[in-house]
Amino acid sequence: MREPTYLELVCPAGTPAALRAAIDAGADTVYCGFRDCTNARNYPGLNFDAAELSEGVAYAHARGRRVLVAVNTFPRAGEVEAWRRAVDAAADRGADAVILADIGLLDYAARRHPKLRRHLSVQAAASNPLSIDFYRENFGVSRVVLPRVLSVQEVAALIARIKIEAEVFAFGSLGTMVEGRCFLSSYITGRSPSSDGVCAPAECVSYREEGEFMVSRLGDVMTNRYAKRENAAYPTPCKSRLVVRGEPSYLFEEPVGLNAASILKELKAAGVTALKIEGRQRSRAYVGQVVAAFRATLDALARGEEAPAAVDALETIAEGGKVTLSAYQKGWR
Amino acid sequence: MAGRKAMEEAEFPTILARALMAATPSPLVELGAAALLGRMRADHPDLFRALDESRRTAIRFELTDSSRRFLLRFGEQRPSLRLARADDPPADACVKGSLDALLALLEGRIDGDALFFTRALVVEGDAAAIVTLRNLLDRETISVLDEAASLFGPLKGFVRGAALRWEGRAERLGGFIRAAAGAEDRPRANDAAAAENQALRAEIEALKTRLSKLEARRRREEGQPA
Repeated sequence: MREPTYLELVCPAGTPAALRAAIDAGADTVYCGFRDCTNARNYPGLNFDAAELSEGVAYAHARGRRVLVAVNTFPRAGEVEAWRRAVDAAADRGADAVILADIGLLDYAARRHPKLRRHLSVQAAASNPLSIDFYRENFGVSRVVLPRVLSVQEVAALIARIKIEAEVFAFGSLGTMVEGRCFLSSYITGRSPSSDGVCAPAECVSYREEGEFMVSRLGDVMTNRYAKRENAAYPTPCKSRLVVRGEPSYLFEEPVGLNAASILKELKAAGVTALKIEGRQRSRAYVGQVVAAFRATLDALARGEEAPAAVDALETIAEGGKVTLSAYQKGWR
Repeated sequence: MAGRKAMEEAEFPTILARALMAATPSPLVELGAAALLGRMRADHPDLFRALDESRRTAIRFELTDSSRRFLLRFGEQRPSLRLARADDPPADACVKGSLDALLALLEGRIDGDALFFTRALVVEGDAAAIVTLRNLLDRETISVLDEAASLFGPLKGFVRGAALRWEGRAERLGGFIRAAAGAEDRPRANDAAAAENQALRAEIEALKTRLSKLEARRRREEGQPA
Protein backbone atom coordinates (compact mmCIF):
# COMPACT_ATOMS: atom_id res chain seq x y z
CA MET A 1 0.00 0.00 0.00
CA ARG A 2 1.11 3.54 -0.73
CA GLU A 3 2.26 5.48 2.31
CA PRO A 4 0.18 8.62 2.90
CA THR A 5 1.86 11.97 2.39
CA TYR A 6 1.68 14.31 5.41
CA LEU A 7 -1.78 13.06 6.50
CA GLU A 8 -3.88 10.17 5.17
CA LEU A 9 -6.62 11.50 2.91
CA VAL A 10 -9.85 9.54 3.43
CA CYS A 11 -12.44 10.30 0.76
CA PRO A 12 -16.13 9.53 0.18
CA ALA A 13 -17.64 7.41 -2.59
CA GLY A 14 -21.38 7.08 -3.04
CA THR A 15 -21.00 5.25 -6.35
CA PRO A 16 -18.32 3.17 -8.12
CA ALA A 17 -17.73 6.17 -10.41
CA ALA A 18 -17.06 8.38 -7.38
CA LEU A 19 -14.66 5.77 -5.98
CA ARG A 20 -12.64 5.84 -9.20
CA ALA A 21 -12.76 9.64 -9.25
CA ALA A 22 -11.44 9.77 -5.66
CA ILE A 23 -8.60 7.36 -6.39
CA ASP A 24 -7.68 9.14 -9.64
CA ALA A 25 -7.68 12.51 -7.84
CA GLY A 26 -5.25 11.28 -5.19
CA ALA A 27 -7.20 9.76 -2.29
CA ASP A 28 -5.15 7.49 -0.03
CA THR A 29 -8.27 5.77 1.19
CA VAL A 30 -11.90 5.67 0.05
CA TYR A 31 -14.90 4.85 2.22
CA CYS A 32 -18.24 3.62 0.97
CA GLY A 33 -21.34 1.72 2.11
CA PHE A 34 -23.82 -0.88 0.98
CA ARG A 35 -27.12 -0.07 -0.70
CA ASP A 36 -29.28 -0.48 2.42
CA CYS A 37 -29.97 0.77 5.95
CA THR A 38 -26.60 -0.38 7.30
CA ASN A 39 -24.85 2.88 6.51
CA ALA A 40 -25.60 6.51 7.27
CA ARG A 41 -26.01 7.64 3.65
CA ASN A 42 -28.90 5.40 2.60
CA TYR A 43 -30.26 7.56 -0.24
CA PRO A 44 -31.97 6.32 -3.43
CA GLY A 45 -29.67 5.43 -6.32
CA LEU A 46 -26.61 5.60 -4.07
CA ASN A 47 -24.12 3.09 -2.65
CA PHE A 48 -22.64 -0.27 -3.59
CA ASP A 49 -23.70 -3.86 -3.95
CA ALA A 50 -21.22 -6.62 -3.11
CA ALA A 51 -20.01 -7.03 -6.70
CA GLU A 52 -19.42 -3.28 -7.06
CA LEU A 53 -17.47 -3.32 -3.80
CA SER A 54 -15.23 -6.09 -5.14
CA GLU A 55 -14.55 -4.07 -8.29
CA GLY A 56 -13.87 -0.94 -6.24
CA VAL A 57 -11.47 -2.78 -3.92
CA ALA A 58 -9.63 -4.22 -6.92
CA TYR A 59 -9.38 -0.75 -8.52
CA ALA A 60 -8.03 0.78 -5.30
CA HIS A 61 -5.63 -2.03 -4.38
CA ALA A 62 -4.17 -2.07 -7.89
CA ARG A 63 -3.14 1.54 -7.23
CA GLY A 64 -1.92 0.98 -3.68
CA ARG A 65 -4.94 2.57 -1.98
CA ARG A 66 -7.37 1.33 0.64
CA VAL A 67 -11.15 0.91 0.83
CA LEU A 68 -13.13 1.18 4.06
CA VAL A 69 -16.75 0.11 4.39
CA ALA A 70 -19.07 2.06 6.65
CA VAL A 71 -21.55 -0.16 8.50
CA ASN A 72 -22.20 2.68 10.85
CA THR A 73 -25.89 2.70 11.67
CA PHE A 74 -27.38 0.97 14.70
CA PRO A 75 -29.20 -2.35 14.22
CA ARG A 76 -32.89 -2.22 15.03
CA ALA A 77 -34.26 -4.41 17.79
CA GLY A 78 -34.52 -7.98 16.51
CA GLU A 79 -33.22 -7.08 13.04
CA VAL A 80 -29.47 -7.53 13.20
CA GLU A 81 -29.06 -9.78 10.16
CA ALA A 82 -28.61 -7.02 7.57
CA TRP A 83 -25.82 -5.50 9.66
CA ARG A 84 -24.07 -8.84 10.19
CA ARG A 85 -24.31 -9.56 6.47
CA ALA A 86 -22.78 -6.17 5.69
CA VAL A 87 -19.78 -6.81 7.95
CA ASP A 88 -19.34 -10.30 6.45
CA ALA A 89 -19.58 -8.93 2.90
CA ALA A 90 -17.01 -6.21 3.60
CA ALA A 91 -14.61 -8.85 4.93
CA ASP A 92 -15.29 -11.30 2.09
CA ARG A 93 -14.87 -8.64 -0.60
CA GLY A 94 -11.45 -7.55 0.63
CA ALA A 95 -12.19 -4.25 2.40
CA ASP A 96 -9.26 -2.91 4.41
CA ALA A 97 -11.41 -1.95 7.40
CA VAL A 98 -15.00 -1.55 8.54
CA ILE A 99 -16.28 1.64 10.14
CA LEU A 100 -18.65 0.66 12.95
CA ALA A 101 -20.58 2.41 15.69
CA ASP A 102 -22.73 -0.17 17.47
CA ILE A 103 -21.05 -2.11 20.29
CA GLY A 104 -22.86 -5.33 19.39
CA LEU A 105 -21.67 -5.10 15.82
CA LEU A 106 -18.15 -4.20 16.94
CA ASP A 107 -18.20 -7.33 19.10
CA TYR A 108 -19.48 -9.42 16.18
CA ALA A 109 -16.80 -8.09 13.81
CA ALA A 110 -14.02 -8.59 16.38
CA ARG A 111 -15.02 -12.21 16.98
CA ARG A 112 -15.98 -13.18 13.42
CA HIS A 113 -13.32 -11.27 11.48
CA PRO A 114 -10.47 -10.60 13.92
CA LYS A 115 -8.02 -9.75 11.12
CA LEU A 116 -10.29 -7.07 9.63
CA ARG A 117 -9.40 -3.62 10.98
CA ARG A 118 -12.14 -1.88 12.90
CA HIS A 119 -12.55 1.89 12.90
CA LEU A 120 -14.91 3.59 15.32
CA SER A 121 -17.42 5.66 13.38
CA VAL A 122 -18.20 9.25 14.26
CA GLN A 123 -21.70 7.90 14.86
CA ALA A 124 -20.40 6.42 18.14
CA ALA A 125 -19.71 9.99 19.33
CA ALA A 126 -16.65 8.88 21.31
CA SER A 127 -14.94 12.08 22.38
CA ASN A 128 -13.12 11.30 25.62
CA PRO A 129 -10.28 8.91 26.56
CA LEU A 130 -12.49 6.70 28.75
CA SER A 131 -14.87 6.00 25.93
CA ILE A 132 -12.17 5.50 23.29
CA ASP A 133 -10.15 3.20 25.59
CA PHE A 134 -13.30 1.12 26.13
CA TYR A 135 -13.67 0.52 22.39
CA ARG A 136 -9.95 -0.22 21.98
CA GLU A 137 -9.73 -2.63 24.92
CA ASN A 138 -12.95 -4.52 24.25
CA PHE A 139 -13.18 -4.58 20.46
CA GLY A 140 -9.62 -3.95 19.26
CA VAL A 141 -10.56 -0.73 17.49
CA SER A 142 -7.55 0.72 15.61
CA ARG A 143 -8.86 4.17 14.77
CA VAL A 144 -11.45 6.61 16.09
CA VAL A 145 -13.23 9.16 13.91
CA LEU A 146 -13.64 12.15 16.19
CA PRO A 147 -16.93 14.07 16.41
CA ARG A 148 -17.10 17.49 14.80
CA VAL A 149 -17.48 19.31 18.12
CA LEU A 150 -13.87 19.59 19.27
CA SER A 151 -11.46 22.51 19.00
CA VAL A 152 -7.92 21.87 17.72
CA GLN A 153 -6.65 22.15 21.32
CA GLU A 154 -9.19 19.58 22.47
CA VAL A 155 -8.23 17.26 19.60
CA ALA A 156 -4.57 17.51 20.64
CA ALA A 157 -5.34 16.91 24.32
CA LEU A 158 -7.49 13.91 23.48
CA ILE A 159 -5.00 12.29 21.09
CA ALA A 160 -2.27 12.64 23.71
CA ARG A 161 -4.29 10.39 26.01
CA ILE A 162 -5.43 7.64 23.62
CA LYS A 163 -3.48 4.75 22.16
CA ILE A 164 -5.11 4.49 18.72
CA GLU A 165 -5.14 6.52 15.50
CA ALA A 166 -7.42 9.54 15.22
CA GLU A 167 -9.25 10.64 12.08
CA VAL A 168 -10.88 14.07 11.90
CA PHE A 169 -13.24 15.75 9.44
CA ALA A 170 -11.56 18.18 7.06
CA PHE A 171 -14.29 19.13 4.58
CA GLY A 172 -18.03 18.81 4.07
CA SER A 173 -21.34 19.19 5.80
CA LEU A 174 -21.51 19.70 9.52
CA GLY A 175 -23.60 18.00 12.17
CA THR A 176 -24.30 19.99 15.28
CA MET A 177 -25.98 17.27 17.28
CA VAL A 178 -24.38 14.49 19.30
CA GLU A 179 -23.49 12.19 16.44
CA GLY A 180 -25.54 9.02 16.23
CA ARG A 181 -28.04 10.30 18.77
CA CYS A 182 -29.97 12.88 16.78
CA PHE A 183 -33.70 12.24 16.49
CA LEU A 184 -34.88 15.56 15.02
CA SER A 185 -35.45 14.11 11.55
CA SER A 186 -37.09 10.99 13.03
CA TYR A 187 -39.68 13.07 14.86
CA ILE A 188 -40.76 14.60 11.57
CA THR A 189 -40.40 11.71 9.11
CA GLY A 190 -40.62 8.54 11.18
CA ARG A 191 -37.33 7.33 9.74
CA SER A 192 -34.18 7.48 11.79
CA PRO A 193 -30.74 8.68 10.67
CA SER A 194 -29.24 6.28 13.21
CA SER A 195 -31.07 3.09 12.16
CA ASP A 196 -32.42 3.79 8.67
CA GLY A 197 -29.37 5.75 7.58
CA VAL A 198 -31.25 8.77 6.34
CA CYS A 199 -31.47 12.25 7.78
CA ALA A 200 -34.20 14.16 5.91
CA PRO A 201 -35.03 11.20 3.61
CA ALA A 202 -35.57 12.37 0.03
CA GLU A 203 -39.11 10.97 -0.17
CA CYS A 204 -40.11 13.31 2.68
CA VAL A 205 -38.51 16.41 1.13
CA SER A 206 -40.25 18.87 -1.17
CA TYR A 207 -39.39 22.25 -2.65
CA ARG A 208 -41.89 24.70 -4.06
CA GLU A 209 -41.66 28.20 -5.44
CA GLU A 210 -44.16 30.39 -3.61
CA GLY A 211 -44.17 33.88 -5.07
CA GLU A 212 -40.76 35.45 -4.54
CA PHE A 213 -39.62 32.64 -2.28
CA MET A 214 -38.58 29.02 -2.53
CA VAL A 215 -39.99 26.99 0.34
CA SER A 216 -38.49 23.70 1.53
CA ARG A 217 -40.49 21.22 3.57
CA LEU A 218 -39.63 18.04 5.42
CA GLY A 219 -42.87 16.11 5.69
CA ASP A 220 -45.43 18.74 6.62
CA VAL A 221 -42.89 20.95 8.34
CA MET A 222 -41.54 24.02 6.58
CA THR A 223 -37.77 23.98 7.12
CA ASN A 224 -36.80 27.11 5.24
CA ARG A 225 -37.91 29.93 2.99
CA TYR A 226 -35.30 31.37 0.65
CA ALA A 227 -35.43 34.77 -1.01
CA LYS A 228 -34.34 35.10 -4.65
CA ARG A 229 -30.59 34.59 -5.09
CA GLU A 230 -30.17 33.54 -1.46
CA ASN A 231 -28.00 30.44 -1.16
CA ALA A 232 -29.90 27.30 -0.22
CA ALA A 233 -29.05 24.42 2.15
CA TYR A 234 -29.93 20.80 2.75
CA PRO A 235 -33.44 20.47 4.22
CA THR A 236 -32.24 18.91 7.48
CA PRO A 237 -33.97 20.02 10.70
CA CYS A 238 -30.71 21.21 12.27
CA LYS A 239 -30.20 23.64 9.37
CA SER A 240 -33.78 24.90 9.50
CA ARG A 241 -34.50 28.59 9.75
CA LEU A 242 -36.63 28.94 12.85
CA VAL A 243 -38.67 31.89 14.04
CA VAL A 244 -37.52 32.63 17.58
CA ARG A 245 -39.05 35.59 19.42
CA GLY A 246 -40.39 36.84 16.11
CA GLU A 247 -37.05 36.72 14.29
CA PRO A 248 -36.19 34.05 11.69
CA SER A 249 -32.72 32.67 12.36
CA TYR A 250 -30.56 29.58 12.09
CA LEU A 251 -30.91 28.56 15.71
CA PHE A 252 -28.76 25.40 15.59
CA GLU A 253 -26.43 25.71 12.60
CA GLU A 254 -26.17 27.94 9.55
CA PRO A 255 -26.07 26.35 6.10
CA VAL A 256 -22.31 26.32 5.80
CA GLY A 257 -19.69 23.67 5.08
CA LEU A 258 -16.52 22.76 6.98
CA ASN A 259 -13.17 23.48 5.34
CA ALA A 260 -10.17 22.78 7.57
CA ALA A 261 -7.57 23.20 4.81
CA SER A 262 -6.09 26.26 6.51
CA ILE A 263 -5.31 24.41 9.77
CA LEU A 264 -3.80 21.18 8.46
CA LYS A 265 -0.43 21.98 10.07
CA GLU A 266 -2.14 22.40 13.42
CA LEU A 267 -4.09 19.17 12.98
CA LYS A 268 -0.91 17.27 12.13
CA ALA A 269 0.84 18.81 15.14
CA ALA A 270 -2.13 17.69 17.25
CA GLY A 271 -1.33 14.10 16.32
CA VAL A 272 -4.08 13.48 13.78
CA THR A 273 -3.46 10.47 11.50
CA ALA A 274 -6.12 10.93 8.84
CA LEU A 275 -8.39 13.57 7.31
CA LYS A 276 -11.93 12.69 6.35
CA ILE A 277 -13.77 14.35 3.48
CA GLU A 278 -17.55 14.16 4.04
CA GLY A 279 -19.97 13.68 1.16
CA ARG A 280 -20.93 10.21 -0.01
CA GLN A 281 -24.25 11.74 -1.06
CA ARG A 282 -22.45 14.16 -3.39
CA SER A 283 -21.49 13.63 -7.05
CA ARG A 284 -18.27 12.32 -8.51
CA ALA A 285 -17.56 15.89 -9.71
CA TYR A 286 -17.57 17.06 -6.06
CA VAL A 287 -15.38 14.15 -5.01
CA GLY A 288 -12.87 14.78 -7.80
CA GLN A 289 -12.63 18.49 -7.10
CA VAL A 290 -12.34 18.30 -3.31
CA VAL A 291 -9.91 15.40 -3.31
CA ALA A 292 -7.67 17.02 -5.93
CA ALA A 293 -7.55 20.26 -3.93
CA PHE A 294 -6.67 18.48 -0.68
CA ARG A 295 -4.15 16.23 -2.46
CA ALA A 296 -2.36 19.32 -3.80
CA THR A 297 -2.45 20.93 -0.37
CA LEU A 298 -1.07 17.90 1.48
CA ASP A 299 1.67 17.41 -1.11
CA ALA A 300 2.62 21.09 -0.84
CA LEU A 301 2.76 20.91 2.97
CA ALA A 302 4.89 17.76 2.76
CA ARG A 303 7.37 19.73 0.62
CA GLY A 304 7.37 22.54 3.18
CA GLU A 305 5.42 24.86 0.91
CA GLU A 306 2.26 26.83 1.59
CA ALA A 307 -1.15 25.48 0.58
CA PRO A 308 -2.07 26.23 -3.06
CA ALA A 309 -5.10 28.34 -3.91
CA ALA A 310 -7.16 25.36 -5.07
CA VAL A 311 -8.70 24.88 -1.64
CA ASP A 312 -10.09 28.43 -1.68
CA ALA A 313 -12.21 27.56 -4.72
CA LEU A 314 -13.94 24.84 -2.72
CA GLU A 315 -16.22 27.44 -1.14
CA THR A 316 -18.37 27.33 -4.28
CA ILE A 317 -19.28 23.69 -3.76
CA ALA A 318 -19.68 23.77 0.02
CA GLU A 319 -23.12 23.58 1.56
CA GLY A 320 -24.71 27.00 1.42
CA GLY A 321 -21.78 28.24 -0.72
CA LYS A 322 -19.90 29.18 2.48
CA VAL A 323 -17.18 27.54 4.55
CA THR A 324 -16.20 27.63 8.21
CA LEU A 325 -13.66 26.16 10.60
CA SER A 326 -16.59 25.47 12.91
CA ALA A 327 -15.69 23.96 16.29
CA TYR A 328 -12.00 23.70 15.40
CA GLN A 329 -11.79 27.44 15.78
CA LYS A 330 -14.63 28.63 17.92
CA GLY A 331 -14.78 25.87 20.50
CA TRP A 332 -18.05 24.28 21.46
CA ARG A 333 -20.70 26.38 23.08
CA MET B 1 -16.22 29.54 -10.25
CA ALA B 2 -15.43 25.84 -10.53
CA GLY B 3 -18.86 24.97 -11.85
CA ARG B 4 -18.61 27.50 -14.65
CA LYS B 5 -15.18 26.14 -15.59
CA ALA B 6 -16.64 22.64 -15.85
CA MET B 7 -19.39 23.96 -18.10
CA GLU B 8 -16.96 25.91 -20.30
CA GLU B 9 -14.75 22.87 -20.73
CA ALA B 10 -17.69 20.92 -22.08
CA GLU B 11 -17.33 19.63 -25.55
CA PHE B 12 -20.89 20.19 -26.55
CA PRO B 13 -22.21 22.76 -29.02
CA THR B 14 -24.77 24.43 -26.76
CA ILE B 15 -25.18 27.49 -29.02
CA LEU B 16 -25.96 25.21 -31.94
CA ALA B 17 -28.26 23.07 -29.80
CA ARG B 18 -30.23 26.11 -28.62
CA ALA B 19 -30.47 27.43 -32.19
CA LEU B 20 -31.65 24.05 -33.48
CA MET B 21 -34.22 23.70 -30.72
CA ALA B 22 -35.59 27.16 -31.48
CA ALA B 23 -35.70 26.71 -35.27
CA THR B 24 -36.80 23.08 -35.52
CA PRO B 25 -40.52 22.24 -35.59
CA SER B 26 -41.75 20.52 -32.43
CA PRO B 27 -42.41 17.11 -34.04
CA LEU B 28 -38.80 16.97 -35.25
CA VAL B 29 -37.47 18.00 -31.81
CA GLU B 30 -39.51 15.17 -30.29
CA LEU B 31 -38.19 12.71 -32.86
CA GLY B 32 -34.64 13.80 -32.06
CA ALA B 33 -35.20 13.52 -28.31
CA ALA B 34 -36.70 10.06 -28.64
CA ALA B 35 -33.86 8.91 -30.91
CA LEU B 36 -31.26 10.25 -28.48
CA LEU B 37 -32.92 8.44 -25.58
CA GLY B 38 -32.97 5.21 -27.63
CA ARG B 39 -29.28 5.60 -28.41
CA MET B 40 -28.49 6.14 -24.73
CA ARG B 41 -30.54 3.08 -23.78
CA ALA B 42 -28.34 0.98 -26.06
CA ASP B 43 -25.11 2.48 -24.72
CA HIS B 44 -26.00 2.53 -21.00
CA PRO B 45 -27.94 -0.65 -20.21
CA ASP B 46 -27.23 -0.53 -16.46
CA LEU B 47 -28.65 2.97 -16.18
CA PHE B 48 -31.83 2.07 -18.04
CA ARG B 49 -32.24 -1.18 -16.11
CA ALA B 50 -32.14 0.85 -12.89
CA LEU B 51 -34.59 3.40 -14.34
CA ASP B 52 -36.95 0.59 -15.37
CA GLU B 53 -36.85 -0.77 -11.81
CA SER B 54 -37.65 2.65 -10.29
CA ARG B 55 -41.16 3.65 -9.33
CA ARG B 56 -43.30 5.36 -11.97
CA THR B 57 -41.96 8.91 -12.33
CA ALA B 58 -42.43 11.97 -14.54
CA ILE B 59 -39.94 14.84 -14.36
CA ARG B 60 -40.38 18.10 -16.24
CA PHE B 61 -37.25 19.95 -17.38
CA GLU B 62 -37.54 23.69 -17.99
CA LEU B 63 -34.59 25.28 -19.77
CA THR B 64 -34.04 28.81 -18.51
CA ASP B 65 -32.29 29.80 -21.75
CA SER B 66 -34.76 28.24 -24.18
CA SER B 67 -38.51 28.18 -24.52
CA ARG B 68 -38.55 24.38 -24.80
CA ARG B 69 -39.88 22.25 -21.94
CA PHE B 70 -39.27 18.50 -21.82
CA LEU B 71 -40.96 15.65 -20.00
CA LEU B 72 -38.95 12.59 -18.97
CA ARG B 73 -40.88 9.52 -17.84
CA PHE B 74 -39.41 6.33 -16.43
CA GLY B 75 -40.17 3.54 -13.96
CA GLU B 76 -42.69 0.74 -14.61
CA GLN B 77 -42.76 1.93 -18.22
CA ARG B 78 -40.32 2.31 -21.11
CA PRO B 79 -38.50 5.60 -20.51
CA SER B 80 -39.61 8.40 -22.81
CA LEU B 81 -38.45 11.95 -23.46
CA ARG B 82 -40.75 14.34 -25.29
CA LEU B 83 -41.80 17.97 -25.28
CA ALA B 84 -44.05 18.90 -22.37
CA ARG B 85 -47.62 19.85 -23.30
CA ALA B 86 -50.03 22.22 -21.68
CA ASP B 87 -52.54 19.44 -21.00
CA ASP B 88 -49.99 17.09 -19.39
CA PRO B 89 -50.93 16.01 -15.87
CA PRO B 90 -48.69 17.60 -13.24
CA ALA B 91 -45.22 16.04 -13.21
CA ASP B 92 -43.87 14.50 -10.00
CA ALA B 93 -41.00 16.96 -10.05
CA CYS B 94 -39.65 19.87 -12.06
CA VAL B 95 -36.02 20.89 -12.69
CA LYS B 96 -35.15 24.36 -13.98
CA GLY B 97 -31.71 25.36 -15.20
CA SER B 98 -29.68 26.43 -18.21
CA LEU B 99 -28.89 23.98 -21.00
CA ASP B 100 -25.21 24.18 -20.03
CA ALA B 101 -25.99 23.29 -16.41
CA LEU B 102 -28.31 20.41 -17.27
CA LEU B 103 -25.84 18.95 -19.78
CA ALA B 104 -22.99 19.26 -17.26
CA LEU B 105 -25.15 17.36 -14.75
CA LEU B 106 -26.05 14.70 -17.29
CA GLU B 107 -22.38 14.19 -18.13
CA GLY B 108 -21.26 14.21 -14.47
CA ARG B 109 -19.05 17.28 -14.91
CA ILE B 110 -20.65 19.31 -12.17
CA ASP B 111 -22.08 18.75 -8.71
CA GLY B 112 -25.85 19.07 -8.63
CA ASP B 113 -25.95 19.98 -4.94
CA ALA B 114 -23.56 22.89 -5.55
CA LEU B 115 -25.81 24.16 -8.36
CA PHE B 116 -28.77 23.80 -6.01
CA PHE B 117 -27.05 25.68 -3.17
CA THR B 118 -26.30 28.61 -5.47
CA ARG B 119 -29.80 28.44 -7.00
CA ALA B 120 -28.39 27.89 -10.51
CA LEU B 121 -30.58 24.81 -10.43
CA VAL B 122 -34.13 24.97 -9.11
CA VAL B 123 -36.01 21.83 -8.17
CA GLU B 124 -39.66 21.52 -7.26
CA GLY B 125 -41.86 18.65 -6.15
CA ASP B 126 -40.78 15.11 -5.35
CA ALA B 127 -37.14 15.34 -4.25
CA ALA B 128 -36.74 11.54 -4.14
CA ALA B 129 -37.42 11.31 -7.90
CA ILE B 130 -34.74 13.89 -8.63
CA VAL B 131 -32.21 12.42 -6.18
CA THR B 132 -32.73 8.96 -7.67
CA LEU B 133 -32.21 10.17 -11.23
CA ARG B 134 -29.21 12.29 -10.26
CA ASN B 135 -27.51 9.40 -8.44
CA LEU B 136 -28.19 6.90 -11.22
CA LEU B 137 -26.81 9.28 -13.86
CA ASP B 138 -23.71 9.95 -11.77
CA ARG B 139 -22.74 6.29 -12.07
CA GLU B 140 -22.41 6.59 -15.86
CA THR B 141 -19.92 8.22 -18.19
CA ILE B 142 -22.06 9.96 -20.77
CA SER B 143 -21.10 12.22 -23.69
CA VAL B 144 -24.25 13.72 -25.13
CA LEU B 145 -22.41 14.91 -28.23
CA ASP B 146 -21.10 11.41 -28.94
CA GLU B 147 -24.56 9.94 -28.38
CA ALA B 148 -26.16 12.50 -30.69
CA ALA B 149 -23.48 12.11 -33.39
CA SER B 150 -23.91 8.31 -33.24
CA LEU B 151 -27.42 8.77 -34.59
CA PHE B 152 -25.83 9.65 -37.94
CA GLY B 153 -24.16 6.24 -38.27
CA PRO B 154 -21.10 6.31 -40.52
CA LEU B 155 -21.30 10.12 -40.68
CA LYS B 156 -20.75 10.33 -36.89
CA GLY B 157 -17.24 11.76 -37.15
CA PHE B 158 -18.18 14.30 -39.80
CA VAL B 159 -21.28 15.49 -37.94
CA ARG B 160 -19.39 15.73 -34.67
CA GLY B 161 -16.59 17.77 -36.25
CA ALA B 162 -18.98 20.01 -38.17
CA ALA B 163 -21.02 20.74 -35.06
CA LEU B 164 -17.92 21.72 -33.09
CA ARG B 165 -16.59 23.88 -35.96
CA TRP B 166 -19.94 25.66 -36.19
CA GLU B 167 -19.90 26.16 -32.42
CA GLY B 168 -16.40 27.63 -32.53
CA ARG B 169 -17.44 30.16 -35.19
CA ALA B 170 -20.58 31.06 -33.24
CA GLU B 171 -18.51 31.63 -30.09
CA ARG B 172 -16.10 33.92 -31.96
CA LEU B 173 -18.95 35.80 -33.59
CA GLY B 174 -20.65 36.18 -30.22
CA GLY B 175 -17.41 37.55 -28.79
CA PHE B 176 -17.16 40.17 -31.54
CA ILE B 177 -20.81 41.14 -31.13
CA ARG B 178 -20.40 41.52 -27.37
CA ALA B 179 -17.24 43.55 -27.92
CA ALA B 180 -18.97 45.81 -30.43
CA ALA B 181 -21.96 46.30 -28.14
CA GLY B 182 -19.62 47.23 -25.31
CA ALA B 183 -17.69 49.65 -27.53
CA GLU B 184 -20.83 51.66 -28.32
CA ASP B 185 -21.08 52.69 -24.70
CA ARG B 186 -17.61 54.17 -24.52
CA PRO B 187 -16.71 57.84 -25.12
CA ARG B 188 -15.93 58.61 -28.74
CA ALA B 189 -12.41 59.92 -27.95
CA ASN B 190 -10.93 56.47 -27.49
CA ASP B 191 -13.58 54.49 -29.33
CA ALA B 192 -11.30 52.83 -31.83
CA ALA B 193 -8.62 51.73 -29.39
CA ALA B 194 -11.12 50.57 -26.80
CA ALA B 195 -13.15 48.63 -29.35
CA GLU B 196 -10.06 46.95 -30.72
CA ASN B 197 -8.89 46.16 -27.21
CA GLN B 198 -12.23 44.71 -26.26
CA ALA B 199 -12.54 42.77 -29.51
CA LEU B 200 -9.12 41.26 -28.91
CA ARG B 201 -10.04 40.39 -25.34
CA ALA B 202 -13.25 38.77 -26.55
CA GLU B 203 -11.33 36.82 -29.15
CA ILE B 204 -8.80 35.71 -26.53
CA GLU B 205 -11.65 34.58 -24.29
CA ALA B 206 -13.24 32.67 -27.17
CA LEU B 207 -9.89 31.07 -27.99
CA LYS B 208 -9.35 30.16 -24.33
CA THR B 209 -12.72 28.47 -24.23
CA ARG B 210 -11.93 26.66 -27.46
CA LEU B 211 -8.53 25.62 -26.11
CA SER B 212 -10.15 24.28 -22.92
CA LYS B 213 -12.50 22.19 -25.02
CA LEU B 214 -9.67 20.85 -27.15
CA GLU B 215 -7.68 20.03 -23.99
CA ALA B 216 -10.69 18.23 -22.52
CA ARG B 217 -11.11 16.32 -25.77
CA ARG B 218 -7.43 15.40 -25.88
CA ARG B 219 -7.53 14.17 -22.28
CA ARG B 220 -10.63 12.14 -22.99
CA GLU B 221 -9.08 10.59 -26.09
CA GLU B 222 -5.95 9.75 -24.10
CA GLY B 223 -8.11 8.17 -21.43
CA GLN B 224 -7.23 10.73 -18.75
CA PRO B 225 -9.84 12.23 -16.43
CA ALA B 226 -11.28 15.41 -17.99
